[in-house]
Amino acid sequence: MSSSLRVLVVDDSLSMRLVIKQLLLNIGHEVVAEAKDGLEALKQYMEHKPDVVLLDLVMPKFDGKKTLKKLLQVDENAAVVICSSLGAEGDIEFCLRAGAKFYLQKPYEVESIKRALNSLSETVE
Amino acid sequence: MSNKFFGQYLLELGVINKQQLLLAIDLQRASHLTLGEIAIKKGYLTNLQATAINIEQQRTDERFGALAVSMGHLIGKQVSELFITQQNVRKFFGEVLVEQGILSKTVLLEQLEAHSELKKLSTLKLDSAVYAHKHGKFIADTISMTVRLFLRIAKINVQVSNLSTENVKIKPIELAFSQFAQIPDPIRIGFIMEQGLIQTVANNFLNLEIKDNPAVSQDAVCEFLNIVLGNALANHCKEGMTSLSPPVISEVESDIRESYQSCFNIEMATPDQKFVLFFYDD
Repeated sequence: MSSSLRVLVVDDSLSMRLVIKQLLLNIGHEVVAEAKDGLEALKQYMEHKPDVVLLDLVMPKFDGKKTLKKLLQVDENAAVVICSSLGAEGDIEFCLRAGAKFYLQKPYEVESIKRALNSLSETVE
Repeated sequence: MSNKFFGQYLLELGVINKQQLLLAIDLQRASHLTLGEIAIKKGYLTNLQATAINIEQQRTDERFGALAVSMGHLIGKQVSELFITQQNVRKFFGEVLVEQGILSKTVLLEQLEAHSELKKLSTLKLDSAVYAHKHGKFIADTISMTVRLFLRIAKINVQVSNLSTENVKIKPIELAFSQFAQIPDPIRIGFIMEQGLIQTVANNFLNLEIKDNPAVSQDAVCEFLNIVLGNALANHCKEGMTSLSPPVISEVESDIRESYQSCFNIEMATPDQKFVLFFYDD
């Protein structure tokens, strides 16, 4: 059985944040903070030090790819899971090579998100 | 959902891991040779000739083989041979996984079939989310045309390089799919919006329960379109040409606003074209 993870949810869409929060709750994880753009995400990350960041790519101000790089600069061990409607091979490759642990394409499959978080929970204390 | 790239599908399923995905992408890419590269290897073209054809190709948007013939560098028979070689050396993603011992051939075939089934199911899911509404047919048609518009714009972006001297425009006739489409920039596309539609789309597609919250309802439609278009673009366009700006809800101009009980705009854009999706309650 995997342990509960403290998750930061980053998505500019209010409805998607609601969906993902409910989903995480149902599968036994805790949402410690949420952010609607990359800058807010960085701030929340520093404040809450979550186990995992679920990060959208298409966002205003500071998009997901920039946020991913910045998060890994401030914490090279940051566990980032990309959750995006973009599904081109180039986007997936970019994020995984940049250091994202996993890539999920919207709309989410519950099993996929469970699988991604379970694999990460094994590496979290 | 969806029309996921096969590698992404396998990753999400846990059949392959991140490292195996990236390795397969590298190996597959290495097997995708251009006609020019093959022609140089075979000694049919020099580097200089291939470069000249490439430049002309970017200017005219014609195919490499046809240009090579018209420029007198290759004959038709050689071009045919190059095509055959190109197909023979090109590897499919799954083929690379089997070659590397990551998947057995049996598992690959099972997963290819499952992937294909999932695509059919995702189409059904989208249809059921939309057709549950009394205006389902109209909504489906409008979404379909919107997706086609986005794809067209993105494909034009792919085709027209910065070396091109031609200014490619979309012909008005291609936009005349609906009485609600208006030209020119920004392209405005109308959707019928009733509370029922928003609830249906949000509940069925995003699995979100919404009760009398207009802000969440509008946002759900935004995200719904973002997902539909994002998936469609990913499967029809070359990498780097799939960027969509985040959808933004904006106020409808006051003169239009007066004519409807309720309405709002969603603005979306590819790098070169802004779209206003106009939702209204008639």
